[in-house]
Amino acid sequence: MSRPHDPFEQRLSAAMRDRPLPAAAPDLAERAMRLAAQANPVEQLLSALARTARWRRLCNLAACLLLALVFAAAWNALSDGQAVDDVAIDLPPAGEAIEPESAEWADSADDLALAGALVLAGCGAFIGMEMALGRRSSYALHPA
Amino acid sequence: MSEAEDVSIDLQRLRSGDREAFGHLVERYQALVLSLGQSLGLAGADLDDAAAEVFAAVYRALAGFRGAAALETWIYRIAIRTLTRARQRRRRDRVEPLADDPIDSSQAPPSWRLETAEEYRRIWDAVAGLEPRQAAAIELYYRHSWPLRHIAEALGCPEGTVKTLLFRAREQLRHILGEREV
Repeated sequence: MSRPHDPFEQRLSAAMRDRPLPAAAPDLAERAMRLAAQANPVEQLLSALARTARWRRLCNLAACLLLALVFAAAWNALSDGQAVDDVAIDLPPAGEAIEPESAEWADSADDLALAGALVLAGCGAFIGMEMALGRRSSYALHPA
Repeated sequence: MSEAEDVSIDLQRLRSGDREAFGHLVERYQALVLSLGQSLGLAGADLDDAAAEVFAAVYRALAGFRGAAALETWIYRIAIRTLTRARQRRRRDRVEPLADDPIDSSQAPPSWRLETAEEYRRIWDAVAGLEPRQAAAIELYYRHSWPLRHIAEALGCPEGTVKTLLFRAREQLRHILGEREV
């Protein structure tokens, strides 16, 4: 490192270099090991999972699938509940035939919305798991 | 023995839960961790607690360390995160000023005058007020004389970012201290 020429930098450098170090607690290693043993089980599990890339990928995939399933189930339950209202609203005036195209269009729009929601839920789960495991893996994997 | 060999032997013993090996690791790197904590404004019991947290995180993560990076920079990265969290917690929980960290006259160079000590104190306080990555960059560059490449590894960013961090930190310190006074 080249020595600074700027007087401000020289003072800063001298102040930092000459700063006395605080004395370490004599039982620092023991305390650290006790703390490590007391870690939250969820934290320990996530740290363990984050250590290998394969487990990390599997966790991400599982989280995506699980959230997508939950979302699909919730969507299904909601659509079932609204079915009667939908029929009542969509019924044509008396004497007119129901147009099959509009019913199909409504179905495909529903499917499209469901697919979109599933994709979004999957992305959310992936990002969430990545954030949870990614922070830990930066400790566990190669940081450089 | 090279540092890499030394590290691999330590790691083998550490993975098997060897307390003595972990004790050696703590002894070897505690100064690095404590000095960073000090530069982030932690002192006394807060600093001891935070240092213990850092080494607990190191202990938990050691099984996954494969030695691709220098152990020193790897520990430093853990230290920055853990100590920054400790500092945030401390600032959130308490409002009184940080515990006084008097200059130990037995450790201070004999050339120090009272004005020098006062001036240094103001500089250290100003560094403690910086954003954590800026404080870490100042600490590593000026206190430990690490090369930029090494600092970049420790902070997990390109060398250019380290230069920017140092430049901004210096500008901020100039602003806080007032150039004429330093």
